[in-house]
Amino acid sequence: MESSVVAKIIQEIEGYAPSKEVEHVGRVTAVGDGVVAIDGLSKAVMSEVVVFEETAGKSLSDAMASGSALYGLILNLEEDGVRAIVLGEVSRVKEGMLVKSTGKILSVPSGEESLGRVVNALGEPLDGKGPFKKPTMMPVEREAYGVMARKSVSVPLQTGVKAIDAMIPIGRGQRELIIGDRGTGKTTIAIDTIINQKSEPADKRPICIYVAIGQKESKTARIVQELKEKGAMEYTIVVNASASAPAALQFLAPYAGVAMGEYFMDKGKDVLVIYDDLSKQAVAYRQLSLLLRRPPGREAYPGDIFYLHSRLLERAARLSEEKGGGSVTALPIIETQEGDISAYIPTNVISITDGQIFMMADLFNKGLRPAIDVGNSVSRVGSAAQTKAMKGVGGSLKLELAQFRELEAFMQFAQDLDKATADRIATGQRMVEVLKQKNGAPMPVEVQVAVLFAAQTKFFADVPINKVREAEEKLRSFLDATASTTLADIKKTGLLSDESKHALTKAFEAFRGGHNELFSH
Amino acid sequence: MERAYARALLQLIQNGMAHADAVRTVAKVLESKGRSALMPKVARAFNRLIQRESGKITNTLFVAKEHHASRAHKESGEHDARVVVDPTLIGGWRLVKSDSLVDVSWKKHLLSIYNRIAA
Repeated sequence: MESSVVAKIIQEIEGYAPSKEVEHVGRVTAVGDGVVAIDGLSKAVMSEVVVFEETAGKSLSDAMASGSALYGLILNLEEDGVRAIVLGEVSRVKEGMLVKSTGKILSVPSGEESLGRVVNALGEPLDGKGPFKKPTMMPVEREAYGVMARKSVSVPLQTGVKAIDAMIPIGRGQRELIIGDRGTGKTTIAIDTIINQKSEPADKRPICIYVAIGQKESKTARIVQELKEKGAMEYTIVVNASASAPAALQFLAPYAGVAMGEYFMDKGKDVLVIYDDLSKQAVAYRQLSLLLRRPPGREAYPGDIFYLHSRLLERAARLSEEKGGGSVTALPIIETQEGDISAYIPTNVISITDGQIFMMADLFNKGLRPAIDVGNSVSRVGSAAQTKAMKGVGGSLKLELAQFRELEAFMQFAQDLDKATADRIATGQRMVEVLKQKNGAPMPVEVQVAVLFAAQTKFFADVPINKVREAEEKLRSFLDATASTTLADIKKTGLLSDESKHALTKAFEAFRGGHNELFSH
Repeated sequence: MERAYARALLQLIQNGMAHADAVRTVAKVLESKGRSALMPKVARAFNRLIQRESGKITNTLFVAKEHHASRAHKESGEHDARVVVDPTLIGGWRLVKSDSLVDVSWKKHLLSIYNRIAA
């Protein structure tokens, strides 16, 4: 052993002055399924952390080898005792074990050194990169900011997905639900949004927090790998409470995620938190509530299931300048069954959030990517969270698409169509093609504006429908090479000026001249 | 659940019912609900409840060696506490009351030194 360590131990022993500190304790009377009944702890408070005393009766060497302390979280205050959930291995808890009160509310570590890390719902690193050196502890449960501390949402959060940024814009501080059946591309949109933040200037780039709840470890590992490959992990924290994690950790993970985000928001930074997904958190909470013997309600969920999500999502906010101007944007994900958005949890979360992006299995199966059902999707912040350039090119897009969908249904029965209707259908079909986008390929806002401007000016009218995507991809590469100054100007000013329009129109003409094979006449 | 039955049993007794009758009544209710197996748990919960209500919980004083007891009694101020020898404490003493704990054992101190150095 190093002499400095020995000297430190000797110093500690010599300085030993026994203090008769009184600790409040209880005793475990029953344990099962992650829930512990504790007798005593009369001074405990709700959501307080307790520590199980595993060292009693063990020799010093065994106590030192027993590893980290085992914690619990009080969720029920009863007449003669309390009930708590175990934040770790339940098998370590024994009947009769002493439980000490800590007087602390559950907190998780946060700070700059959390960036690029994968942690569990308690903020403990899972990536093998070692513990945090100087973390700031943030309370997992905290009251959301009030009205006076907030300001309205006005700064866009670019997802890089054309269909969203143009028709369902998301602002910094907004809560936008992503909802749909399994395998319809909900997570893909969320991950693309994280990746797209790379195109933001470093000082304005939001910190991203991806909270995986009840997901397969393999899926989370794949996401982390993708984020690393795209260089997005450097500004991202992944909170993982996988399907194999105890229900208690799956219930806590979203709160831990937002608590980590609040550290950055309080410092005036923008944060994006993705909860993937809250349906699984609700199921974990239902499990805990039933084990805590709370009365079941609809679909066996407890009575406070709405509050579970509302108190989480209310913590998304855009703070006033006096409070630093930071923000937390929330993108909760909800999985539906057979597209039923009127089920209990979906309707709850729809009513809490500021809009929803509805992913449709039918559209997905037709090959539409992203499979967004524009009719059922909405952003209640609307154009307040769009640049003027995007407003100009995407303002009427949603209406045009809705009209096209109506005509498309009508077209199946009609034999002859008048020219105006046929034109509208042709334009709509091309617009649908233009809005298609590959997975993992988010697009900077200025490129989106240029492409949508092309569609608005009927640039794709002469392109056969099956070639629209090819034309759009080639046009983007062409613009990157030949109109970079115009694109940079759109990005910088957020405007599509007359000069920019003129420059883009000229670029389109030049493209057309060099790509005759894409145009039918 | 067992706590609720234990409290009901106590209430019956406090309302003047004979002890045996009160136990029989609770047992009958449990039997009618097919939960007779809960009876031992109810008994344990009742025992804890009675101890708490009557304030007759015996405080326990843990010491590392038997001859440390008198000093521990003096230092803790608990002269009536039941003494239990726990050699794993190494030295010092540890007093467990109904819902409080005073631990001035050497083991606790050495463990805290270990945890500080290992952190």
